[in-house]
Amino acid sequence: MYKRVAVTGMGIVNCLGNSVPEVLTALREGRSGVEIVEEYRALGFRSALAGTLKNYQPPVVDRVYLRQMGDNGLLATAATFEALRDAQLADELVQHPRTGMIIADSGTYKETYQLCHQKKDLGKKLTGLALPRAMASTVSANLSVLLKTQGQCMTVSAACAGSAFAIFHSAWAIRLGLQDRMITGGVHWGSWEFDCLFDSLRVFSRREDSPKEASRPFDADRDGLVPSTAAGMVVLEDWDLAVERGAHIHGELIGVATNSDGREMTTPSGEGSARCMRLALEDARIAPENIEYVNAHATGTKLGDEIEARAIGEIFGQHPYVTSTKSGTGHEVSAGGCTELIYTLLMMNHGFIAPTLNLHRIDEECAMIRHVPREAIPADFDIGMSNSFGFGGVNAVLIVKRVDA
Amino acid sequence: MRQGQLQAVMPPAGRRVVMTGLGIVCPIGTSLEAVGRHLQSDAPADRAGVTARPVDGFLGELTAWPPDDLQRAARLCAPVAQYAIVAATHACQQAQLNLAGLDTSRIAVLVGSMLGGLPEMVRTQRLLDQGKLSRAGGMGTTKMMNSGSAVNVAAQLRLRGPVMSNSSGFATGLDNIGCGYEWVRDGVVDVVVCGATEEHCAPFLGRQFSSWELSPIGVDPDCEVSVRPFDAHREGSLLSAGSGIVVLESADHAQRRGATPLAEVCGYASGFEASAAPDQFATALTRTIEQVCGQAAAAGAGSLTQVISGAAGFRQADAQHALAIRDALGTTALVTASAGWLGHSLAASSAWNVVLASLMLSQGVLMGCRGLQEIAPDCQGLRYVQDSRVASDPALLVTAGGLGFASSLAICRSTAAKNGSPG
Repeated sequence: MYKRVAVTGMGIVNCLGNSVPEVLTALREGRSGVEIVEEYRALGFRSALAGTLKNYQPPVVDRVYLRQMGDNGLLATAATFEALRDAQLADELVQHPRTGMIIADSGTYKETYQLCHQKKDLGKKLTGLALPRAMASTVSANLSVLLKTQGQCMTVSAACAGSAFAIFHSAWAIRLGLQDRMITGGVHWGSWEFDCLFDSLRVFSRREDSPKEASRPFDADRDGLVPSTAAGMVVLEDWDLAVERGAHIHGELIGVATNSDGREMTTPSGEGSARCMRLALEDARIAPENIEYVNAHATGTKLGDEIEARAIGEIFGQHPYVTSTKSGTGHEVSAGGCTELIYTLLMMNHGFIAPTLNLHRIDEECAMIRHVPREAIPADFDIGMSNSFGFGGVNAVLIVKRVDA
Repeated sequence: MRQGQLQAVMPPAGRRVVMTGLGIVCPIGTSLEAVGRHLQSDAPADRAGVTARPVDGFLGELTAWPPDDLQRAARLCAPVAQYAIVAATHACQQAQLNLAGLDTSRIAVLVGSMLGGLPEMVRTQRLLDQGKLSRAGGMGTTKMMNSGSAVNVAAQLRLRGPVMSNSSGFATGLDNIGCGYEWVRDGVVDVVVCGATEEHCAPFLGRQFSSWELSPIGVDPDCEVSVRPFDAHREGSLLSAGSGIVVLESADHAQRRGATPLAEVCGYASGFEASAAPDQFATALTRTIEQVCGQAAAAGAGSLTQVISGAAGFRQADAQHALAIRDALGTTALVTASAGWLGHSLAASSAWNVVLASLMLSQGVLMGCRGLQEIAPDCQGLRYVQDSRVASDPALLVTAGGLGFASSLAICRSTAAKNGSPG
């Protein structure tokens, strides 16, 4: 028998708010955090839209640590601090060999660019701290140094499903008794160095005349996704230990699954994501009809939304509510798997379903599922599911259950 | 337990995990056979590499790359992914993984890197400057993203299980293999193709190593023996490129399909030393070695006395490696390192060491610690393999550490392999 996994802490910074309570309010009110980024306009991007942070104050971190951190590390630190406060974990439990840290990061594009550009094009000398800022494991390494965790430590990459993979990885570490608690989640720092590649792929919405309406998953008039900066972190704990220390448990992670299409880099197969949802149900030992809410991966691309809607419809029919919170947040890339798990838990514990904003005309190819368009609705549900899919055909599905259910 | 069967009963010890395929792309060869031949040959003392071309004073770009038989789809990938694809293909061929008869959704891919497609950033920036960014195309993102190598391996080999890229500094290779070991041991999947890959990044990072005083002074560009692990006159390391990939599967799975186990993994642990100084990791490494020794003993592998260390000729880090091994294993430990042969390939080095460890066990020989002539005072108290010698024990410990990360993994000659029968 494997150990049960409790979610005891949540932290988030994104375009909707700088804390979980702020994000909760925005979800309920159906706000969008998408804006025009003037820098992207100046650089000649096809689309200058992005989800941007508002009034974000980076956490105060000693310069000794700060100089080794990139923007992504600092943003993850802000979300982690909130998650740890929420979990009320004592320092001795954080600074423990059985406390690990697995974080997903979209990549250190900005820092790597600086590394290359400064040396190669500007002829400037690199500082000795460029490597800790640019290496792939920078976020988990810096946070681990800052928090003095001593257990497993790594940064994982699985494209847009990154933080769901990090949570999968962390959940198994607890289930198998390899670690007692995991600080896990993901971060994506939006910058032109990353977004320019997606822009060249022509997958961004170009609805610049109405930024708040640009992200419209499942809508017949959708024209692409909107990238967004975010960090989402959760504290996962061995259920028994969490109960023993009297922790407030936000929910139980009852099902986790990851897989891959094994086919193409940029076009989802549909078969892989459907198989992943079934794996997660099997892992949770529940039937499709037990799922009452699905936080879809749907980003607002023509093909991706259709494929996902078909897969959800095929497995669940019209039973569960299905929404895409990316309609308000944009696509949070590597952070999305964790932030969307947090949204699902917030909805579950506060009795509502955040809508798919801007869903005025449901695409016929996406009509086989139970949408919640434009406005939040009250809903009392016990089990919710969050989908995350990414380039390279990577898929991850997480299922959470309400504590008193 | 498998994904989707949480309640299945599995003892904590889990399943036996064997290595059935090895793949390596490195400065001394782009195939296992070539590397094995080179290590056994009388290579000139001042020239380890035969396929690497020193660039800017550093080992880096592999000559004759890409190989003629690299498939067109793989040619579209970044070199960092190409290395992984070639090494993974070789490993799967050696493992005789016939996908037609296997459930590919139960085969995972875990391939990490530390910097990944770094040079792609330069190319992208040039395209941006020229207003030709659209030429980066659909593959631009997948060339640069950290999981690019892992997903490309999965796509090329048509594998449909979990695919991800773990990164943990210089321990990246070991941690991807260690994670794969745990997933197979505990039944998350049946087979894992795992390891690490790293691209030629010397023109960028080499200077940084210099500014950290981590690269040798006055390197002779034609003389790679400048890397001197544990040596009194060590001055730092040379960067190199390549990939190390292994195929892991449960012993039962290997037996069912008639595969020959090359070695057995009998322990793995990883940790982190929370120090602001990047070269402090001895305490964490000691802890992981002790954990692995316990696991290996429980698995019946006996005591671990032979070590292939991640020491790469760095002034501070080599001493940390020596200290950790001495504290955990005592002064009788027999230690070697591969960096004198291969340079330092960031993420890939520790994956190379796992491949080399398996090769050494199968050949019954410990390779010499090339470049070590005079043991440094801060590395004393251990026995070093200064020339190749017969491996006395059937088990080998592989250690990695740096930038705070520390990991250890033990492999032993498979009992099945020893008995000459698969499975």
